[in-house]
Amino acid sequence: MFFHIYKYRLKALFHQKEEFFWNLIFPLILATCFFAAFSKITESTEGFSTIPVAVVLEETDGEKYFTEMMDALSESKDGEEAFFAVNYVAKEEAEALLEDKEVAGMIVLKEAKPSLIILENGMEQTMIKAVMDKYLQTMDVITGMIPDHMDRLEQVMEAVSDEVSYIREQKLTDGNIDNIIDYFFALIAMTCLMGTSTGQVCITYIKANLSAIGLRKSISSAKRMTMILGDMAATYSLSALSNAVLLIYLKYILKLNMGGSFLEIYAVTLVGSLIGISIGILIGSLPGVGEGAKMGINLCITLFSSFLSGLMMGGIKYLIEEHCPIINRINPASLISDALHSLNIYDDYAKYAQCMVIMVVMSVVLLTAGIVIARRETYDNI
Amino acid sequence: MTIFKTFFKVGRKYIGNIFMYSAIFLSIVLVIAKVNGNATVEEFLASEVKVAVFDHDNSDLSKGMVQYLEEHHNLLEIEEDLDTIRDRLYQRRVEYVIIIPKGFGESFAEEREKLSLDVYKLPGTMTSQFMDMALDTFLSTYRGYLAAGMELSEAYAKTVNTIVVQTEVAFYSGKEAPVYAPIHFFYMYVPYALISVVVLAIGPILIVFNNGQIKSRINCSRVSAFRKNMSLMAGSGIYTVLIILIYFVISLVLYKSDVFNTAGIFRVLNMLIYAFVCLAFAFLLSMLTSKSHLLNIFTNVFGLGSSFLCGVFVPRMWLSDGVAAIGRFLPAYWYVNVEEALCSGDAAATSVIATGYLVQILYGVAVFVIALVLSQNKRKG
Repeated sequence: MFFHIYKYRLKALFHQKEEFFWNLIFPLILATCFFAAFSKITESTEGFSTIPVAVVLEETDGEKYFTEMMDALSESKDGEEAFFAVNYVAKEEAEALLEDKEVAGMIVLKEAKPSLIILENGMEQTMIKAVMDKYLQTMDVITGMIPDHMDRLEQVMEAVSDEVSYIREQKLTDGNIDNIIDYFFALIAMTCLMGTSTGQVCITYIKANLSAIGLRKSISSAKRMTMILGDMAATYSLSALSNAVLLIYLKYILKLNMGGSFLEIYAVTLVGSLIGISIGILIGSLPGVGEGAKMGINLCITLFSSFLSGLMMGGIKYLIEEHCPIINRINPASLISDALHSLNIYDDYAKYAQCMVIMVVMSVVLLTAGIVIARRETYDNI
Repeated sequence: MTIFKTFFKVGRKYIGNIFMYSAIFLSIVLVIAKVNGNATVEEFLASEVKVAVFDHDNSDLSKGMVQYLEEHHNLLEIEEDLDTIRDRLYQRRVEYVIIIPKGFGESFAEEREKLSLDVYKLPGTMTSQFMDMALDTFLSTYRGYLAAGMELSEAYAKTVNTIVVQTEVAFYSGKEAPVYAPIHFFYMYVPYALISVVVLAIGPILIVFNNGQIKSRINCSRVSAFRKNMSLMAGSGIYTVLIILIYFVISLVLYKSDVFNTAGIFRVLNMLIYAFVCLAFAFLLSMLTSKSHLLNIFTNVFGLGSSFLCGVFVPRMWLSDGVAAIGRFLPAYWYVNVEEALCSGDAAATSVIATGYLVQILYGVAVFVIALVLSQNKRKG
């Protein structure tokens, strides 16, 4: 009987072309929007790129060393981007460039001392100031040699000008350190939780007071639990297909680096869909609550869960982790996102296993509660 | 008037949805606005890098470096564990991690190969470049004083004095930077809430009238399609105004006088116009489908998609030119234009605001006309 119910529910789901199409396509459209929106964001917000500056030389004394330094910083070395793109201009032109935001800052060299004029605070402005500070500090070291250490001036100049670096970078991870990937993890989580509405529909088609099909099913000989599990299995199969399509699109067409292997990530989505459908079955089983209200509750859970996992605002999950970590332990979307994050960043599977176990336990508890409520319902009259 | 009055009879069943969806999306908007809201800073603030240091050396040099980082950056304490370091860097709660190896200070004092600092950083970023430069400057200055033949303590003291030499920074007075008051962040995220609330709350009521037996009964009555649609729009319009009122009252409670200045009035008008664009979409969708739960998918796709592409969730300056070009075809883009113009205080702001209003109105009218044409065709069919 289970397979009979499963087969015909699956057929019915494939025949509902509108829902089938949109449930499959909607995550792909959103993923494409995200991909398009975020294509330049890391480069714009964090990525280093050559900083355009305007330089105004108000006096000719002492400019030689400064201009040599600026010219050296304008050259690209070893294939890396140049630090500055320098425009030597008059003051009025420099101001115009600053107003139009064509330069990040305006450096005015007067009496061998540079000062900086900016339009707004930012990392580029901080970088320009840091270079100017380095120039002034180097000048301070050299002038400090006068008159007591003049004999060592050459060694001092060599020491401060030497381009040797005292920094050795350590490898962080093989995964994707660009935290924009969190948005895609949150999108995968939301796609899994969209199963709440399909889970609710499962119960709607079983309860006699909610649909004509439910009325017919309730007088059949099939056990209610078999009906619920059969419908749920069909819905889950469709959800698994939808998740596979989304993952293939993300990993192989958009070529996102999500860290783990396809199977590891797919396993997370399978468990995530199970939670989503289980929540939907529990909400759908609630007696005395109208269909509209149930839809609203499902939407509320999906949206809030996704919001708290960082779908609309990146970083909120980490804020919550700092101030109220229990929310991340019970929020299904955060658990899905954390499992994917652990695959991306960590070397071992401890956190991944922890998230998966919590999700499986939650699914079992929610599903059991939903089935118990739905099974026991009887009607005096319909 | 019959359809108009019946609209409210049907609407009574769905009035709870209006408040429920308004509450859901308003909560999201308020949280985002609260977390992102920021006032303009009037003075230069050097971007402080979030740094964590593990000092295994404990020499004067290493302690001096830690002190320097504490004074000039945001020194944070984290566990010295690779997974924790990875997590903190990934989350951007730390941006640069330095491990000072044992014997580091000694290697500088003696004429031998200098030890290096082991760092974990975000590759290719401004912050990592900046910190590399800051550390190299500190250490090369120290080396310079050592090269002058000074003792370690004297060289260190001189380094500390040199490092405080700073460039004078001033803000350019010719053009004011945009002022982003907290009310801006509230109204900035409202488009996402409005498209979702209006479509999800009013869409199901319109679906009742545009599908099934009720539609057939209206079609064979003497009420023309145009009159029917006008009645439905009028009823929906009243509910839309109710939704706007909720958002208006909340913004009034939170931002008080900012709502009643010129910018505030323009913001409320912007919100009103955008709400009617959303209503036009709700109207069109009710013609296209008879299933209320599909509205959910539309609001997710259109609401979230346009919020990311038009500069609602992601500041527009961070979007590529191609994405910005696509965004121009969406009404939220023009809403955001108005909002940005209200913050800029530019002389050209008035024309940007007027253009934004006009494009949104035209958009709404166009969508509504498409819906009317569809309704007419369905009736004939």
